[in-house]
Amino acid sequence: MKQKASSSAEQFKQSFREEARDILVDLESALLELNERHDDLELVGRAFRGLHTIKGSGAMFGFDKLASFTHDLETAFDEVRNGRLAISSTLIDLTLSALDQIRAMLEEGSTDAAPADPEASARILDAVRRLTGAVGDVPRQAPRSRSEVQEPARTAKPLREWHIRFAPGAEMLRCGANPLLLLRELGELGGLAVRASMAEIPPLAELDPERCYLSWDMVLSTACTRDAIRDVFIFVEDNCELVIEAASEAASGKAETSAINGPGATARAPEDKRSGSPGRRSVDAVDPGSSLRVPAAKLDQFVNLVGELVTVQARLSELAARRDDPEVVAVSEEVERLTTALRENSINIRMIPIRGTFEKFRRLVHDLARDLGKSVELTIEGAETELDKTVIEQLSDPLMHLIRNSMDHGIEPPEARAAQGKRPIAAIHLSARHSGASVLIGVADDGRGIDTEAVRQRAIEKGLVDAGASLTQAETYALLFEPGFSTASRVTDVSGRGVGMDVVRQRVEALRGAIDVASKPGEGATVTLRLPLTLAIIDGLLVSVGESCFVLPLANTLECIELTEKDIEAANGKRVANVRGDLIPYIRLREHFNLRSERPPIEQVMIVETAEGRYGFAVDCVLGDCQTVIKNLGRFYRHVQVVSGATILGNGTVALILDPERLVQSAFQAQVNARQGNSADNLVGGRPWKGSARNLLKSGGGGGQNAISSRLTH
Amino acid sequence: MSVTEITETRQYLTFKLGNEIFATDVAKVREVLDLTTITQIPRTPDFMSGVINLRGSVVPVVDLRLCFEMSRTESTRNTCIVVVEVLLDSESTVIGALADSVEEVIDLDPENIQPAPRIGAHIRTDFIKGMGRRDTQFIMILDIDRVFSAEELAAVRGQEPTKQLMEVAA
Repeated sequence: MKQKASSSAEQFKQSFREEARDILVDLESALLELNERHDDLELVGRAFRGLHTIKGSGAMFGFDKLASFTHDLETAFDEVRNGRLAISSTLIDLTLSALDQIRAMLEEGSTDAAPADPEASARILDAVRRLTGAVGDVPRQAPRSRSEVQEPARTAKPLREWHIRFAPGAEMLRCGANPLLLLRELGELGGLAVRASMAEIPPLAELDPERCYLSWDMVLSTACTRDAIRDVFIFVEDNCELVIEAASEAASGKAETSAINGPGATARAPEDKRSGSPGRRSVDAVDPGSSLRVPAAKLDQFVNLVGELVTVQARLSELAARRDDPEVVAVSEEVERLTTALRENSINIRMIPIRGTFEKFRRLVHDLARDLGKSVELTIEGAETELDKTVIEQLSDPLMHLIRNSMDHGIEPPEARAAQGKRPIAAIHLSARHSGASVLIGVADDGRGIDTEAVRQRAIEKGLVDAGASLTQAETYALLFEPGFSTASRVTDVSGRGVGMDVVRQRVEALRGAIDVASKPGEGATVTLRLPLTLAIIDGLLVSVGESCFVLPLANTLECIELTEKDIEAANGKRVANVRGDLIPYIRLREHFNLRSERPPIEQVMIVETAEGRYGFAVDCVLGDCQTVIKNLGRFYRHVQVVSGATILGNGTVALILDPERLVQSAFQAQVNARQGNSADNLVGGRPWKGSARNLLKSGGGGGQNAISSRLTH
Repeated sequence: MSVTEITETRQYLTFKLGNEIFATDVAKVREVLDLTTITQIPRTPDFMSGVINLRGSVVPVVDLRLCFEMSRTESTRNTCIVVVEVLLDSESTVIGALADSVEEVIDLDPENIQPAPRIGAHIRTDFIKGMGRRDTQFIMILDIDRVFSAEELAAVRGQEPTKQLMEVAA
């Protein structure tokens, strides 16, 4: 029993950590926005509430050091809120570095961990206290001092009477909230008269000691605002009935009711009750059940299971179709419908907005701008765009490199900008939007743009291109992402090691994405990443060549045309298809993969849009579209280029998912090799692709192939 | 690889490649499958036979005979896939190995295991942990992690000439 209790305490601590991390992100962005708009009181309030929550819940879960550290920051923002302290860049910088300390304290395993860097945190606190003018006399104990600091503020403003009715939800005690503490905190705001209502208390026999049957009516005379009063109840707001009325409003019957969630306890009994004995600590907000935190691993497991279900369902459908028994077919169709819904749901669960990733960069931009002596404003668009969790996780690094690059190379120093008549504050614009089955992530700056000549010179120096080579603009931009390329003449802390952009390309390609660069000299550059919505599933076209099945991603497939013997003759042996007058080169998969089987008289050519233009892939037959769960080929096949994954077909065999971009590149490469006179090699290479393994298959796995051919004849 | 490593009686799974009997520590073996449809991956070396569907996961299959410079595995009624769990770049990976037939699980005492002969064996001696003897038969005990280790695979890969060239449309 005891053990259970301690493990659940650990669980609470863990969920506090997670929650606190989210709050820190929000705090950070609030602070950075505040840095731009010093007088935005709403942002000050947001920052204050964040700190308040961290302090309060921190103390509740036993993070005492963290709570007392946060306390002084909270005080500072309370001062700001009360108009006694102006927001300054110093305060914001201090608070930002304090957030780093808080984050470090959260990461420490034990709850009463000292600050990760005691000196730094002492320094920060000192500076904060100096700002608030409270050097030396701010006690370390969290809950008390707030009122002491506020005391002078209160006397300065006229007192006002508030009627407050507070009826905790019956379940509130179970969440660890202590109404007495709230009443006491309220008492610290000013003169408080409290009446408790005991009408709800049942006879002793029926009394559940864990339920809260009391409610309170209070009159508070204070100089604080309604918001300040409501902040007292910030953690229980969702779980109680709370009415705060100004005395005059109450008289006229005009009431503002906030957050009514609890049972409407209305009866009152005249029984005075002062808030008293010190009990448990502060209280925690109760999740109203609108969202749920689930460990990522559980989710992955769930999605994997759904993936297997999809595979099994495909097999069931195929069996049902073969049996031709209407009852079985009906069941199979029902299962198919459910599986599809389940799969879409499970994929949806993995989708999270990109906001968190984007917001993180506010801090990066702020810090970098300071380090580089540039002033830069980060704007964000489309933060609500949703992407697969795994994609978002992998996206953070490349985006960081792109932003660093923009800040360091793209954006000019303020003087240079002024000289060109540009806005002295440079802009970096992060955007995300959907485009078909892809998401476009843009990083745009209004800096000097990409100097194609400098890029070219640099590439020649580095031996990446020949001195005489003529490059298109796209080819020049592509050089930026070559390993070891860097135009910065010196190595800075920020970028210029020439590794960053290379990493960007690698990461984006690993995500099956593509990079597009646009630039206008003097006006800025935009890097756009095109990424698939999800890595777990793909809309594909199932095609066959001989006995082999392949999946081509549907996203970049444009159309499918027939290729007859006559067409081939008309092209004079060149592998070019005539699509309504356009000549489109095609790659015959049978030849490219050295598949040993007879070419059918009529082939199908899938026209696919690639980065290199439109290309065709000649296959024997198009079997239909399929939504497939992508399986990784694993470490063993990590060198394989043209295949981006595998999927399991309805008949239980594995089909390969082709990567059109890489296929085109590999065909190019093969052609170059052939031109360079590797014809001897070509003869050796003429060895059939796994010819005898194919025989092996024929005798070994006949079932699978029959299934495919039966499908073909359908 | 010396035999000194083998100090206790262990169980080994024996299998045949051609006429020779090989063995691997039974702890490395996950399961033995009948031959199923193998999907080949284009433009990969011959010894990498392809992938199979193992209850929903995609598992690579290797033709051990080609690894040991024998001729390609022919399919017979007895052909099996021995699914082993090996360390590939210090990461646990599941790989299937084609075997002509799977024999049995045997106990081998350390005194029945000798160092691998320097010469005379068909396969590279560093793949062999030791030679076990059982009645009159010799059993080659494989160091299965090493057979599949990345460097060894890369070495085999290196022997493959640039593969399968072909023309594309001009």
